[in-house]
Amino acid sequence: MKETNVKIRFINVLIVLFILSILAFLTAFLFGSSNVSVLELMEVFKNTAPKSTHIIFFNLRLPRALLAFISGGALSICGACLQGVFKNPMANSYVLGVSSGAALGATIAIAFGLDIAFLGFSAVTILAFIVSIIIIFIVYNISKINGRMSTFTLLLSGIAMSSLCSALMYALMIAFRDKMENIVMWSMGSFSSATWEKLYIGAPIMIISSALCLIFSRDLNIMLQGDEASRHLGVNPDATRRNLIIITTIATSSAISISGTIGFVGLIVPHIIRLIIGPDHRKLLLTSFIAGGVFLLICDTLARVILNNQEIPVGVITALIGVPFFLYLLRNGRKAV
Amino acid sequence: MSIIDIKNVSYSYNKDVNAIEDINLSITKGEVFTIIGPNGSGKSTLLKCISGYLSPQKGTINVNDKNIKNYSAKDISKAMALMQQHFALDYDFTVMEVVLMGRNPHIKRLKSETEYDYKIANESLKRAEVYHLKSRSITTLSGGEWQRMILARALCQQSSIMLLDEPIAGLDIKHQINLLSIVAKLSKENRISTVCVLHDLNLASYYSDRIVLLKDGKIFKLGKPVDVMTKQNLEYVYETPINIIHQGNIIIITPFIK
Repeated sequence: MKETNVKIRFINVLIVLFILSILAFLTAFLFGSSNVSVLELMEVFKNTAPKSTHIIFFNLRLPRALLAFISGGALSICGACLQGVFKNPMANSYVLGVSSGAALGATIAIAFGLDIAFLGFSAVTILAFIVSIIIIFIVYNISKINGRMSTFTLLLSGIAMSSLCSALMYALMIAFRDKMENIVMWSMGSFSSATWEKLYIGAPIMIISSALCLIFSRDLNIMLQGDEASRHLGVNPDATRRNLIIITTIATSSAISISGTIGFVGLIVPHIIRLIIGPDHRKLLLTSFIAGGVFLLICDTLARVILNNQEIPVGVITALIGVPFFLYLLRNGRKAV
Repeated sequence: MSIIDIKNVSYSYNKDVNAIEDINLSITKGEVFTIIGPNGSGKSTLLKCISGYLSPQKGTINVNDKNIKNYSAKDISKAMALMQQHFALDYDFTVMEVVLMGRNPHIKRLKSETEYDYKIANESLKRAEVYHLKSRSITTLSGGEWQRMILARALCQQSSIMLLDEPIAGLDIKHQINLLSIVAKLSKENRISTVCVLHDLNLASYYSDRIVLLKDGKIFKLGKPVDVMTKQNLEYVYETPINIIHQGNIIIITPFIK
């Protein structure tokens, strides 16, 4: 029976992802600019490790790994949600202008050298978050026609606002050439500045937003059948779309403003999971969260260890893996939807 | 006893032209009520107003004595099930998964389907004659199988009203008759009121208890099929010559081709 097979496959996928999560965390803890052996790691847990190893683990690798995992999970679950909301396999928060807005905010902070901090967050993070929220607010209100949101207008206005933000960002980069490298490095994403302070604020926002997405999983299944059918199956499509756009924007803005623009996670991970366990959002969303976390944690570890003494922006790694897969999807698109 | 009351309802997509105008209707419990008329006469607009998807600028629509404007999506789904034209849903759900979506109005958020929901879904699958397909992927269904699956989903909602928007469009004659026969049978057996938009005049006259004939958004004629489906009415409304043959209680309408 197909339903039984899908259930078994779902449980198997969860088990595999659980094992992969442990391996990804272990790898992230062990490898880096200075490697830590398994024995040293065990000593850390026993509290008998040298102070330097203790600091590497608790101050650097653990918060970084947790932030990478949670950010990957949040980006991925948001991608899965929005692909369902828009019934479009290419939809994600980035299309709506979240990342361009965040990049513009970060660029303003870097270009003008704003030096304020709040709750351990730099001006770059704060402005990236605020501007991305403002952009989505504008995009959302443009797309409301006669009180109903037009998906078509939303996507188009999102793309238009993204272009506007990018244009402003490039103009600032030209005007402040000395800051160009910092801006480019930020926009490619990195978890190198991960701290417990950032984790304490960012992680709950991303985890709660992701949990809220799960509440709407059955509604998302129903909304695939169109607005009129949805209303007759007990789902208010306009309210659900609005709620999910707000939730995913908060989650994505948090992830991007802390760690920079990290592309393709929200696009490719839900696609891979959909191919394996099918389109049911009740299984897809949770699985996408864990798989996204594993994917970004592995990418971040690779970003740290591929080059000796130099870190590659994690956005480069996700794109290097993501682009070939994205092109494969374009070739075999419909099967993957 | 009337279950849907439509009073002085008008709806316009733009300010200049009314898509439907001054519609007054009452639909009773357990009847099969069909809306017919030429393209652009306002059939689907009227159905969308009844379903609550469109809000009329004028007039009121009461369902179970309550204004449809005051219904939440959850209330609407408990009162009325909708069966649309065949549409593509290119996602690899099983038939059972889609039919179970009909239980959504009765399931609280964060709760899963219970044994009772599965029981209702299985019964609905049997009544719509698609039980044997319940484990099949919906991407492999034919048009007829698809529409019967959507009918099963509608039955699963256990609502007392079914709205059918051109449910047989795109189906071959066997599947058209098969589907409408099931709908008419269920309507009588379960006292479900069925409001149906149809283009096929022969099937409309055969399966309907009452028919409303629309012209330019207004009611031209309302009544039993034998009273509405006259040569004079149809030729005037459809602006084309037709032949009508009476075989006992059955009315056969054919185009008149010179």
